[in-house]
Amino acid sequence: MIYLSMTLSKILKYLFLAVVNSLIVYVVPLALTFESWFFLSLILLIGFLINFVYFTDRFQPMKWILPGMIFMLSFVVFPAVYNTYVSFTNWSTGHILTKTQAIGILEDRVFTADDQKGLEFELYILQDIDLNFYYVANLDSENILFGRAVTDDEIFTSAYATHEPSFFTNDEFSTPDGYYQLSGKEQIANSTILQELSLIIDKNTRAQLYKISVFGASTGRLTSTSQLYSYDEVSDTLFNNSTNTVCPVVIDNFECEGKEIEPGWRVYVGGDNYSKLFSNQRIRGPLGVVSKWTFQFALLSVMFSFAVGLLLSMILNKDGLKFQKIYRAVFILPYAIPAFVSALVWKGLLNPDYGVINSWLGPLYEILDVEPIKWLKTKESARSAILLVNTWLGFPYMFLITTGALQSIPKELIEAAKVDGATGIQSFWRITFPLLMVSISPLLIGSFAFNFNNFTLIFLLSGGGPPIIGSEVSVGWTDILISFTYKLAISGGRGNLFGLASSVTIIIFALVLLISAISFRYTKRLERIYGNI
Amino acid sequence: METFRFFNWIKEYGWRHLIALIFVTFAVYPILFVATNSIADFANLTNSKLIPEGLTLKHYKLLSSNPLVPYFKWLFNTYKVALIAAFFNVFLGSLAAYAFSRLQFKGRRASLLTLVIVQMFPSFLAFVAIYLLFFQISDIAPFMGLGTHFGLILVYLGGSIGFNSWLIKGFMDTISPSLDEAAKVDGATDFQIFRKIIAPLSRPILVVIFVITFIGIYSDFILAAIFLKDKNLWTVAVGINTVFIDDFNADWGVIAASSVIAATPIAVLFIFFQKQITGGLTAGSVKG
Amino acid sequence: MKANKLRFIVFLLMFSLVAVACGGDTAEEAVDSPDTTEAPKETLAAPATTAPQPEVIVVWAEEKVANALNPLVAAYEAAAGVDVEVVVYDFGAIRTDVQTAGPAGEGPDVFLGAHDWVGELAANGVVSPLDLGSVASDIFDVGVTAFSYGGEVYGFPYATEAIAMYYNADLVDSVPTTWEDVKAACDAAGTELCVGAPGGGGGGDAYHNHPFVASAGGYVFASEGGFDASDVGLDNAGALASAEYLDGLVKNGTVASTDYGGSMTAFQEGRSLFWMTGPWARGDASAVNYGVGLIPQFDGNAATPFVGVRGAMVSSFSDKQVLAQSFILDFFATVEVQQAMYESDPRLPATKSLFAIVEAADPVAAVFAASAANGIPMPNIPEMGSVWGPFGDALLIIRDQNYGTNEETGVTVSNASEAMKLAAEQIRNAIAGG
Repeated sequence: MIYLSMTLSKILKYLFLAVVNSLIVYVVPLALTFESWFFLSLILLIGFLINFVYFTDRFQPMKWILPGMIFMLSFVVFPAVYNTYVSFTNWSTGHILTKTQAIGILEDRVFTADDQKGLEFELYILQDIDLNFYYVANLDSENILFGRAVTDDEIFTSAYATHEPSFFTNDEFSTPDGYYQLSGKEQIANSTILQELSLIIDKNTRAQLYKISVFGASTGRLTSTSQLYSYDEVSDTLFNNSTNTVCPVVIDNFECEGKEIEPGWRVYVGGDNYSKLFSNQRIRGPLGVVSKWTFQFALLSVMFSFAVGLLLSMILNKDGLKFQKIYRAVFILPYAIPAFVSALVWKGLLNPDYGVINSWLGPLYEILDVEPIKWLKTKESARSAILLVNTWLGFPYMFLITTGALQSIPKELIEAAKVDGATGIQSFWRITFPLLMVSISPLLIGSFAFNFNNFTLIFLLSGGGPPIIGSEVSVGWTDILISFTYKLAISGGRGNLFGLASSVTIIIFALVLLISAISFRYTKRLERIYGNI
Repeated sequence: METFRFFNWIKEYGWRHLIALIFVTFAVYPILFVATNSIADFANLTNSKLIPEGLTLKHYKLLSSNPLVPYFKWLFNTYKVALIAAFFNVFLGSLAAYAFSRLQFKGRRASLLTLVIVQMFPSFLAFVAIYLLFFQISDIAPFMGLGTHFGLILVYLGGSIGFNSWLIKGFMDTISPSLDEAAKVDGATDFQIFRKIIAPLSRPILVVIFVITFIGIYSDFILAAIFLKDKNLWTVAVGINTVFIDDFNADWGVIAASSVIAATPIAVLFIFFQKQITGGLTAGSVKG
Repeated sequence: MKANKLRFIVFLLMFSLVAVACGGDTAEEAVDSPDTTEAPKETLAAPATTAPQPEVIVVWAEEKVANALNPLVAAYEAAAGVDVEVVVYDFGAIRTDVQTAGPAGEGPDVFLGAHDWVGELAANGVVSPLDLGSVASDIFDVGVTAFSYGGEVYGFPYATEAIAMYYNADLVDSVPTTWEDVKAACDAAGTELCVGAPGGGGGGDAYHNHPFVASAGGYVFASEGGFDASDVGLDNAGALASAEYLDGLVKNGTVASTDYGGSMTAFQEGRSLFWMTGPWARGDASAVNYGVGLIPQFDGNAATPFVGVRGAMVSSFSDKQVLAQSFILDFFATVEVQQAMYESDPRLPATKSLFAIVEAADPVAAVFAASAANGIPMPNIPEMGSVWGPFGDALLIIRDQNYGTNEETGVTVSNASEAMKLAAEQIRNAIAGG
């Protein structure tokens, strides 16, 4: 029996290694073909780690940890590193491409002389016996232009198109001898070649295929023979062929006559985003209010949902209690409804005029002779509402966790305490609770971190509102750091400011880290005291 | 005598029922609201009436019989992805937890802390990063790239192993080391100890984590939406968001009906799972 | 030591087995794949008729449009000899994904989107200009304006959308043309609320509130041939007067303090006489016997709602520019396709030919279209991102009568004009400060 299960662990191990190694063997040549060096190095690194760890005996614990760690490295650490990288760039609307991509896009631009704009004409596409393409552009009866369609390299060496009225009889196009006319379908099959070709009309003008029609004649339009912009690598400038101006690089854009040319590109900006955060009054102003509330929100949310969850699991942790199973199933129900649905249901329930909450509280308002609470409309009511809903959303999780963790607390201990004359409440506070905290406190810290960044709830329930009157930037009383970041990120001067937003998340992480460090010190002490009972 | 017994019942059980019932109301009322909206002719979440005026099953019918809405395929996909991902999450998490709980090595606490802390990073652009990473994976290994359940499951595996390991480790710590020491003396390997002793004894927490991970994945929209572009591969969250929610116009009746359909198996399963969580541990297996 | 050696041999053995098992395939594929990608180029030399490998046009579309397109593309595929792959996308996700996937070389050739994305997409260089050519004459001006940015047009508009005013036809015959008469009609009908409009009740909503400040001279950005971010008109005389007028309407109970859900409930339960929202809500409004009219005038000026336009665009990272343009102009823009899309998702027609069909069949749609004709497109420049928050907040303060003093900064907002001035200030700061 022992021999058999020994082989099981071996089989598992070698199966795992076989899968990993065959995957590597499969992927590496492909990665080479596709030249994705980043991915290649990632795969090789992971492959090396796995083989190294499992074929030596030196890293026994790693054999247990590595499989999970690989996934964390790929899908948690990598995004975090990426985020950090972005926080040092100018990534924002107008600057999402690389410089090469931006230049590529700019160089593709064409322009049309003002008097030729909007001119659209029938274009026929022919092929000769050597399979060269020819265009016939039917501009008007005086200009039935025919010639070879050439690539951009040949524009200035190519002959101009000639007027060929003979191609038309009674306004009907007839294919000249020696040529084959391409149908719409055939044009489409060759469209990637055709889109690079032009019929040269004169020094400045060419005709290009614009729309291939499978139901009628294709159409073309006139453009200038030169592109709108040409890029000069030596001087790193753009030349505007339409206005004949040189456009130099200004940080992350080309600028023509003082005007930024879109698109720009991404550049490394060092700590600019961070210094902006601390120097910009728009951002700094509300930061105090928002940070304070973020802490309150996260802390109170954890406390309330933990308190409710623990209370319920303690209450149900009693042998012989009727309906125990039903109760437990009911208490995890809120968890089984998608959060976005329940947040919006709560929003409806809280509606001051139609909501159920106010109609239930109606008699109470009358007895106390007070105005009905304007849920979500005032600072205090909105904040209380957020906490109420988050408690509802969060207690099932806490209930589950504490129910599970309570099982690890030895009943003998509590019975012993009872024998010693401790009341239920005393034994709870002296034995159950501290022991529970040893295993649960990391979860509470995690839950705190989660709520610290609980964007969905704020966004769906209050949208951050009600607005803080008179602040420099649109911000509300229930905005937490992450929702404020979101507002900043999408409402920068020119659209999205991803670089800046990423730098805020780094700051938020630093804060969370600090709090966790303090909390973990505390749990270490707990562990030391209670860990060895 | 009767009054005394009743008084005693109150003291032992009655007050528990009272508090439980209060929270049952708290927990259930918004859900009842979802349920009644799912059968309302004009569903509206800002409705003042719990029982709507016109009752209809049209939302359920739409989900079950509209060929453009392969809802039960979505449901199947959701459960498939969530079950597999949750299983491996628990498996990998418990392997790591075993190392942290039972093996002695340098930097044990530090590495566990790192795992947990890294998980707290509020990656604003996590989705962009994962998207970019998977573009490359899709080129090279399309079977695990964008558009596949396989790829999606892989990403979910990275999701919460840090927290999970910690929680499982905390539970494992409470299992008496005398058990595995005895097994070691008998010549058992670490893997045998894990498989035969530690893992079975950690069952309550493993089941809890399984349930939590399962529900987390089942309600995820953002990651699933990035991955799944084929209507037949969508999960419920993706399908509902894409088909029934527009700028202002959300079809709450259908959304409510879907929430009810998808949540019911979870509640039912949980009733059966409970024994696994609270079944109690064999006496003596716990540190004492 | 010996054990380790053994392991190593096992490993080598396994490795070579694995390499033999999968290596054969991979090697082949690796060699093969460049070949297939280059294949179309080689057909240059072959007669054009034998071009193998049909081109594939990838279209990202929202679900309802995709449902309409899918049965129709077969005809185009047959006629054009291409494969059209319609990928069903969450509408909002198209905006972000096209900017991630495009530059990474994984994007679509054609995608659908809202006109107010155009500034951002064009500034980012992910969308190509689309010369509408002869198709343009069939499109309503508002659609072309909406898709114009920096002197170019960036999309073919296929649907528009604007709000109007629903009325409870059991209680009133039509929507009066002035707000005074609206108030009188409500008093006569005796409903609990008069006009339910989203944008109050704690939920800021600049979109629905635009007519309240922009109908008598106010504007978000000046728009003389493109929107000008340096000219914010939310605190000009017209805007301030309108805001004060709205304040009066709120104070005398004409306009109720409701968010979207609240305004819907009120109308459905017959508790409000009017509901100010868009054509998407027709299904919800049908809980009562409803009609639709234009939003009442302000000071003799027609109400100007924000107009949203949806269109088809070409990704600048598509290597099939001409094919993508042709797909839109030669197929997507045809009235048959437009009509099929309308039937699947009845937004307002953006083309005159479709409008002619729709108008006769659906008078309610015609009213919404008339309302849109008075409106202006939402500004499509990226700076609009700085507007929604402050604009919505200011209107929320007026709609909820939430005037007061900020305890932190000591700034007081005590009337509607001050709220608007503050919003304009916040917007200017945001645009200047970045």
